[in-house]
Amino acid sequence: MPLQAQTSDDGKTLTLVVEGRFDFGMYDDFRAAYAHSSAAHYVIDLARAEYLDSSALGLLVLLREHAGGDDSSIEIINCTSDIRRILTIANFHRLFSVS
Amino acid sequence: MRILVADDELTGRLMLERALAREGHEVFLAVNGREAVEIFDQERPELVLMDAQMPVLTGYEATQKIKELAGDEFVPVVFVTGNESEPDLVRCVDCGGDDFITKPFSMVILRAKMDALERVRSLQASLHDRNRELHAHRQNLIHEQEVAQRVFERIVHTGDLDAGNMQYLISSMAIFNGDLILAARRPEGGQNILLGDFTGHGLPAAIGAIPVARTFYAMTSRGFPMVRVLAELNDQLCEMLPTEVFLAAVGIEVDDQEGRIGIWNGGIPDVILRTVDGQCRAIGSSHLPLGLVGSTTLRVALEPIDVQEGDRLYAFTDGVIEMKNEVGEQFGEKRIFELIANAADADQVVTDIDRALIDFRGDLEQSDDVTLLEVKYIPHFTTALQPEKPKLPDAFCWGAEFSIRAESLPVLDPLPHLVKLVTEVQGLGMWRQQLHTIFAELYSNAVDHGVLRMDSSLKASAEGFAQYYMEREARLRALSEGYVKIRLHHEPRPEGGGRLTIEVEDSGEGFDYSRDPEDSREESRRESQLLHGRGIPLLSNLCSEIEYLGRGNRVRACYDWA
Repeated sequence: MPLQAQTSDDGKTLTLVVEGRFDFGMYDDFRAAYAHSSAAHYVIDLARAEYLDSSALGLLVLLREHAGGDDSSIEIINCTSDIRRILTIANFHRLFSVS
Repeated sequence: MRILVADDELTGRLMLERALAREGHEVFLAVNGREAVEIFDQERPELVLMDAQMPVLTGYEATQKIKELAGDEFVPVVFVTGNESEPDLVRCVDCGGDDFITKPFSMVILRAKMDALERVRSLQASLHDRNRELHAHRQNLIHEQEVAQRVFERIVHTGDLDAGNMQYLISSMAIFNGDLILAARRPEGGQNILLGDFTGHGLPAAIGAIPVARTFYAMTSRGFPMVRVLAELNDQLCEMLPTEVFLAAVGIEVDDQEGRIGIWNGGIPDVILRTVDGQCRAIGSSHLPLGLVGSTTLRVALEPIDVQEGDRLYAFTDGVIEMKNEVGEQFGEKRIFELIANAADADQVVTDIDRALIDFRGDLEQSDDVTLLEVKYIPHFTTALQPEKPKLPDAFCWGAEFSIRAESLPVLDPLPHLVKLVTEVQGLGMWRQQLHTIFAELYSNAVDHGVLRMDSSLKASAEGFAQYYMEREARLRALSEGYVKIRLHHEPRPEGGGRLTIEVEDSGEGFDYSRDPEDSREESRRESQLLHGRGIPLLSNLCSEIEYLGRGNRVRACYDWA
């Protein structure tokens, strides 16, 4: 599976692990993964993501809206240097916590 | 079923004819191969029973010709064989036959074979139909895209990209492009330039480009500085686009009097400045892309850079950096930076990059839109380039008044008539779009908030938006009293052109407009980040004056053209 969703034991954190290409092809899976979640905190793990395009940036913004917009708590973790570069150009560290 | 029987022996023919006719089939008879082909051509039977050994044209030769005539359609040919050798049986299939049956045979066996072949035939036929349908759809889609692209081209690529101080590359992976370059001169001199890259590719990405181009050109032609254009674009895109679509963009303002270029980079790779003596510096992205957050959060402020003659700016979309070669390596920032920094002849940089990208990619297909722009600083460039002024229409003095009453409000749309009247009487076809916007805003404010007393704060959320329009429909249907009056007055202006004054009065309660103007500006700025309240800032951009009168149920807007 290119996308795995894990909810923490206390149900408060939803972790989405993206594998391979993070692009438009992931649109349906990604949206379905959080659609019914009421987690307070979200973690996007990109350790095994090879590539991220602008459609994926759009998906992240959609998740942010689902999670409460400015009040959302979303962490993007384990970014490779290529992915970090794309997130930095888009200034996404102002919308998400990127590490 | 319609069946052709080809056999040179009378007994064989008659026996088959009788047996098949008894089962309700329509039978055609041929006595040799040539006749079989002729009858096939005329009658187009659905099945052929073919004797292999016949005079004039053998069954094998006839089958070949029949299959050619049938073309894409599947017409089964079954060989009726006597004591043929194995190689002869193989030949039956080689020449295009679909099956064979050996004499003597029972009708039960023949019927079973016919049923099996019928299944193949109907499968083939439905596949064929589906293919044709698919092909037609595809052709249709391509055709529609081509038409839409012509519209797109006309709207998006109408600026002065070819003004002489710019070189650019635009290539796209779809017919439509998610990238755009817009450039236009401001009337008092100087230039506004925008290079943008929508999230996604193709049609969904290109749709947003049309309003962006419209607004960019309209505001620039009215002399707005880039910072105002960017803020307006941001607000429009926030309102219009779905959450996941936004526009990474570089806004550039060239002041060719003072030797200054302003740059705003939101989500685009480093813009590179190459000075005339070959020094390079990068202006990185320090803002979020347009269409994501409200303009106050976005902090739209241009970074000013002092430039001199011959300095050049290079801006490009991530498609350039992320282009891959056959071993999956990216073109990368370093390569492009070096091409710009090390070019012996600055005039050749764009050509060099184009060639380098083509060489790098090799035979691979392009996977993203690739756009590159070079802006060269030439002092007093825009003043030297005085555009030939289009001949203005003569301004007349005239007026008109419309009044629309309750019973007509739900059914009458006066906008096309108003726009048509103004554009025809006064010859303002060039300003049609702006006039339409002004009339539309004024009229919908009068109907919604005046006559129908709708509360626009409903529109603050996406669900509220739908609710708002349902409520509006309901109130409109139930309307029994109320009116909207529109008065037009036009007069020439001493400095040339003319002024159209539009006064719209509604039967509503009005509102308290006597607040501090600073306050109301603040208010409208705040509101412009919500889903509603777009009308007034938009109007004040387009009109030279807007004034509320009476108890707030009358508004007067002045539109100056020249």
